[in-house]
Amino acid sequence: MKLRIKFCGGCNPIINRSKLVKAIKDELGRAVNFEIVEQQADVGLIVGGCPVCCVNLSQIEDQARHWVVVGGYLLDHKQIPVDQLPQKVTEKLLEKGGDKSC
Amino acid sequence: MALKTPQEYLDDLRKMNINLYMFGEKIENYVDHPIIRPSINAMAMTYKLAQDPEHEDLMTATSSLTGEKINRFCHLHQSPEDLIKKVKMLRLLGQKTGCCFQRCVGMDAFNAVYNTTYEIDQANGTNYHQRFVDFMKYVQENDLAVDGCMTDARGDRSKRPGEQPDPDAYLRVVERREDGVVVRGCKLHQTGMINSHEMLVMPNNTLKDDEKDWAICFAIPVDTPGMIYVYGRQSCDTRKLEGGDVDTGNKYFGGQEVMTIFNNVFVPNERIFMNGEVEFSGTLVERFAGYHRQSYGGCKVGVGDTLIGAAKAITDYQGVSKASHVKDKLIEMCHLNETLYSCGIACSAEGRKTAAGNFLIDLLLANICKLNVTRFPYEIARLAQDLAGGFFVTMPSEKDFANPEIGSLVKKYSTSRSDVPVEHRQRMLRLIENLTMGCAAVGYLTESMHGAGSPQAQRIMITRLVDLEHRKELAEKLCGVKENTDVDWK
Repeated sequence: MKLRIKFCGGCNPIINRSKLVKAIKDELGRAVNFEIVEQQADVGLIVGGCPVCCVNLSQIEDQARHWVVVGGYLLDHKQIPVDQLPQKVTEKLLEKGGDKSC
Repeated sequence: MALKTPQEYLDDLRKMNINLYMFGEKIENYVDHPIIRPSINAMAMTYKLAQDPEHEDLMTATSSLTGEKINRFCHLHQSPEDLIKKVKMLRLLGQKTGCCFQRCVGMDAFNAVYNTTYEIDQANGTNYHQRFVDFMKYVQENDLAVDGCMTDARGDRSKRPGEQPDPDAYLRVVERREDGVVVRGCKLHQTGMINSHEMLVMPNNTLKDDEKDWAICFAIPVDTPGMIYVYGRQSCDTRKLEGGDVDTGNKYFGGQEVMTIFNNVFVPNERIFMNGEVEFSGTLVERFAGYHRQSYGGCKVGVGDTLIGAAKAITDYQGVSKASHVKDKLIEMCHLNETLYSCGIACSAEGRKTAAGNFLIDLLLANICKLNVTRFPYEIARLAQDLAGGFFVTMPSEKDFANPEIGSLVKKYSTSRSDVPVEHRQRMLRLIENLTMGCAAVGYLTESMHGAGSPQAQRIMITRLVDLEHRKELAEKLCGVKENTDVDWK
């Protein structure tokens, strides 16, 4: 699986973005072989530190076929307990990354 | 080169030939001087974070001039989103450095000069804007730090520039040549001046027809012949010469202000962006001040975050964090800080496109932002001092803590919670001291008061920008003094 990771700028994060991404990589690595890419990803992960998640998706949308968006405790706009975030995000990445449709 | 590394930036400074004085002596190696280096570190952070994937979304932008990825500090804002990201970037840097990191003033000058030169050219058929675009491309392609340079010495404050007994009280053109002009004068309080590659000089205020010599805007390298720099003192600055790293409070970073003297300095024509157009001096000053008043809704908030964090930490270390009044004061600090941030975001979200194409903040809301900044950091600092207790101004020096004869006693009687190392308490108290009355208070408090214009300057702008007659009519309609045709449901 080709994975694109895009961070927000991190001005006022309510989650530890680095720690979250490390945990997701660990979790994902146990389920599938993946590589980090900048373009032509199967799935992209936007890591926003707070619910605003001010990354402008329209500017990077073409870098991945599908996107998963984390904004603070929100995963694709749905609130998730913080301790479950790595697992839930990984599940989403596997679900969307395995989907070859556009 | 689209993005310079911090090391490349430091290498640039080492190559510069700066005529700098401090404590009455000429300083040769300023890059490694213990009083100056923390301010260079703060500026270097603007380069470092731009290279970090976890921060690049705020720290970089796509140039409207070249299409290249550039440091946001060199960017001409292309949308309200750009203006908002600027505020967020400044907050981030305030958090990372706990001080003024100096590079925003150049960014604010870029944007003001860009749209003002366009309008000068439209009105007068001059070619300042293209010259400025060429300068901006040079800045962006080389990722330069540029000092935005406005505040003159100003002499007798009751007199205009043209009325001063010493006409050099405001920087002016003293000689006009075929290939350029010679300027003389002095700009005070120049933040980050000798940490910059270039300076972008603007007039200080609105000028009259007979004050054309003062209506001069230009850019020159900081090490241009004729420039003299005198380093500004800060409270507790010589602690940085003592050799330790506790009593300085902020171990790594600091701000910088420099008296900047133009002692007959030549400026070539291609670097002149206004020369006698007094009718646009007010526009340039107002826009630069507006952008800079927006900036404070980001940078001071970031520094405020560090002070709130220090207050939280010291209440934990001293065992009082569960007291309800302590929690309440921390919440009050957050409320004040986020109010400033709200103002910074609001004036950005309400930004508008200029004739030149870059975006300008809402001037009224930017002035509201800055007027709040003249007050709230002082209250946040007061609350931090309240929560810290008095020991941060009576605590012995770090050398006493290390003294073989009395050190153990000093530590014994400086201990609060037994499970918290006394050095942690010591460091945190010194950081609070640094931010509220030491070196960083220059940036966090006094600069909040006077930087980008003193409070009265914001009040004057608010008076100009708010329509009080409209509000009066609203009230008169509601109470029946004036006819209210809105209340007609037919």
